[in-house]
Amino acid sequence: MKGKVSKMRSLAGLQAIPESIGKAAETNRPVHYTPGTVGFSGGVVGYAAQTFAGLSVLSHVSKLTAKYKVPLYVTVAYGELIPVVESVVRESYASEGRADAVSTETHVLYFPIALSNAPYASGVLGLFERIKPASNIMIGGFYFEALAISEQGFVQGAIQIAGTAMTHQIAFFVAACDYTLIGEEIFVAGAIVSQDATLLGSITGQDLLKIIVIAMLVGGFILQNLGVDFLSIMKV
Amino acid sequence: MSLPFLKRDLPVVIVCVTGVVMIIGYFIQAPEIYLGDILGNLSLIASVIAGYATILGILTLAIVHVKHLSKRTQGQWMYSVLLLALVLAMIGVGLIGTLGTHPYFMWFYQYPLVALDTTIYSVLAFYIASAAFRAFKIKSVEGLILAVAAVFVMLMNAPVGAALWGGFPLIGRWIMDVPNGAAFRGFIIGSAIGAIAMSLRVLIGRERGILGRT
Amino acid sequence: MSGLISKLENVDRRVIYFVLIIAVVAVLLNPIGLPVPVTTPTRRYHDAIASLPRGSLVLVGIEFDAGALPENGPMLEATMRLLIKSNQRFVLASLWSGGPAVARIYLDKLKTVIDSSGKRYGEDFVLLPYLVGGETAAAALAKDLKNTAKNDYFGTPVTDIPVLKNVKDAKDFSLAICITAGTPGVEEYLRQWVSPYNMPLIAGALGVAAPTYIPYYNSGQIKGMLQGLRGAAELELIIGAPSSAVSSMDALSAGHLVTIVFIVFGNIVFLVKKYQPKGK
Repeated sequence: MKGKVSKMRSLAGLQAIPESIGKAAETNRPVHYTPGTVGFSGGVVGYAAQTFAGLSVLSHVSKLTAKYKVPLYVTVAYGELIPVVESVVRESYASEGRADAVSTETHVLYFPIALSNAPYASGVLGLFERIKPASNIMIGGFYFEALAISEQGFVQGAIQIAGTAMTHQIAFFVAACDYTLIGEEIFVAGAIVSQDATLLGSITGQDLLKIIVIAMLVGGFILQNLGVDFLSIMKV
Repeated sequence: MSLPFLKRDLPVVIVCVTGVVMIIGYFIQAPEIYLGDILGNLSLIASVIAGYATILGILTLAIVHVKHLSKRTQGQWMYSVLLLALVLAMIGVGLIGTLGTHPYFMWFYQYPLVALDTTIYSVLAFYIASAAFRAFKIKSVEGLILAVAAVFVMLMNAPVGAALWGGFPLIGRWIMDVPNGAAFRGFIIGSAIGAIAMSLRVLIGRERGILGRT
Repeated sequence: MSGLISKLENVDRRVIYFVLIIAVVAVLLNPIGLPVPVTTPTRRYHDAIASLPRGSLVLVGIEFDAGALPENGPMLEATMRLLIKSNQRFVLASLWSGGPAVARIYLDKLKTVIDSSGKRYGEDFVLLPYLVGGETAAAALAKDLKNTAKNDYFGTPVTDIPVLKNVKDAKDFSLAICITAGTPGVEEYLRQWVSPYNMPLIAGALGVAAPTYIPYYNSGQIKGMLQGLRGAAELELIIGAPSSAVSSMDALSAGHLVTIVFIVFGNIVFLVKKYQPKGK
C-alpha cells in the first residue's frame, strides 16, 4: 500500500466539466462556479470539507476557462472565501500562462449570507438573468438556494454539474441538474483534480474504514440476533 | 521564531494541540479531573472567534459595496447605497438599548425581513413543481421507482393521501422508514467518516485549504 | 400530432406555476377541512413533553430564522403552548442569529396564553441571547450554561434569573427540544447533548430535512419528531389549539396534488411520444 495511490473510479460529472466549458466557448457565454455556501466556519468541520472540495474543483475549472478563454464568474457567500478564491483563480490562470486575463475574464462576486441564504440565492438568480451562463458548476455545501439556482440555470439553458454532501439538497440537485456528484463523490472529485497524494490516500483510508464499519454492522446484526448483546459492548 | 514557522507551522501546532485536547475531553469521563477548565475556556474562545468572523463578514460586505459606490459601478452603485443604508439602519436600531431588543429592531425583523426571506424560500415550491415535472420521467426502471416513491411519500405527507386511500400513508411511511432510512444511514456514516478523515488531515497539518493554500 | 406532443412535453413552467397558485389560493379561501390523522412520531413528540413531571426544566433550541418561519414557527408555537399547558419550565436558546427574534415573535403572540396560565418570565421561562459558534456553542451550553450565556436576551445577568438558579449544565434539564431548519440543528444536539449526557431529545424538522433524521428517530436517539408543517398541524390538533399549520393543510394537499398531476401528465406525454408510430 505504501507509496501507491489507489485508482479512483471515473465520475460522470467530473468528465462533463470540459464538455460544458467547451459549450460555453462555442456559444460565447460565461461559466458560473460556486464553491458552496457553507464557508470554512460555522462550527461544523464536515461542511468545511465540502468547501475545500469545491475549491479544488474550482482550480480545475479555472484552468479550463483560462485555456478556452471563457469568462468565469465565481460567486461566494462568505467574505473569508474571497481571498482564497481569488488566489486559486490567479494561480490557475498563471499556470496556463494567462495571468493577465484574470482581471478581464474572471469575476469574483460576493453575495453575503446574513440571517439566511436568501441574499445569496437572489443575488445569483439576478446574476444568471444578466450573464446567461452556458455552464453552471456548483460543488460544495448548499442549503435551500441549491434548487433555486439549479432551476434558474435550467431556464438559461446551462449545462449543470452539481455536487454536495448536504443530505437535504442532493435530491434537488438530482432532479434539476444534468450531472450530480453525490455525497463523498465531491471529495473524490476534489482529490482527483488536485492529484494530491494525501487527499487520494485519505480517500482510500476512508474506504477501508467503511469496510470495517460494514463488517461491524453485519457482525453486530448477526451477533445481536444470536442473543449476544453487541450494542452494549459498543457503548462507551 | 522565523516567519515561515509563524505562518505555516505555528497555526498547525495550535490546531493540533487544541484539537487533541477537545477530543480527549469529549471521549473520557469526568474530563475536568484532568483538564480543569481548559475545555470550557476553549469552547468559549471558539465562540468568541466565531463572533468576530461575523463582524469580518459585515466589514467585507461594507468594503465591497463602498468600492462599488466610489467607482460608481454602472447598474450597481445605487443598490450599494441602498444596501449600506439598510445595514447601517439595522445596526443602528439594534444598538438602541439592550442589543437587538428595541421595538424598531423587532419591526425591521418581523415585517420587511421575514417577508423577504419567506418570499425567496417559498419560490422553491414553484421550482420543485417544475423540476419534478421535468425530472420524474420514467426513462428507466430506476426512474419508475423514483416517481412511484415520490408519489407515495407526497401523498403520505399531505392529508389528501389518507383521504384518498389508507394505503398511501402506510406505504409512504414504509418507504421513509426502510429504503430511505437505510440509504441515509449509509450516507451519514460515509459523511462522518469523510469528516473524520478531513479532521485528521487538519490536525496533522496536511489539509492545505485550511491555511488558504490550495 | 407530434407538434402537439412536443408542446405538451415542454410545457412552459409558468403554466405550472399558475396552476399551482390557483390551486393553493382556492383552497386557502375555501377550505375543504380534510382530516389530519396523527402519526406516531408526532404522538411521541407530544408524549415526551406531556409525560414529564410538572415543573421539569426543558431546553427549547430555536434553530431556524425568518425563512423557515412559516414551517417551523407553528411547531414552536404548538410546543410552547404544550409546555405551558403541561406546566413545565423552559429555556429558549438559539444557535442561529435570528432565533431570539423568532422567539420574541412567538412570546408576543402567546402573551395572552402565558398571562392566563400564570407563567412569568424569569420564574418559569427565559430567553437566552444568540449563542455564537454553532456546535461549539451547543457544547459550551451543555457544559456550563451560566458561563456561556452570561445574560439573558434582555441583558439581565443569568445569576439573577430564578428559573436558572440551580442550573449548571445539561444534567439539570429533563428534555431537549430542537426545532430546526438546518445547521446547526439536530445533529449538533445529538453530538453535544444526547451522546455525552444521555439527554432525551425531540425534534421538529422541515419537511425536506425530516428524511435525514429518520435513522436517528428509528434508532431511538430522537424520541419524537415533528415532520414538516404536517407535524406541526398534528401537534396543534393533539393539544386542541388548531392554528396556522392546520389551516395550511388543505393548501399543502392542493400543492402536492398539482405536482403529482403534472408528474403523471408529463409521463403520459413522454410515453405517448415514445410509443407513437413513426411518421406521425
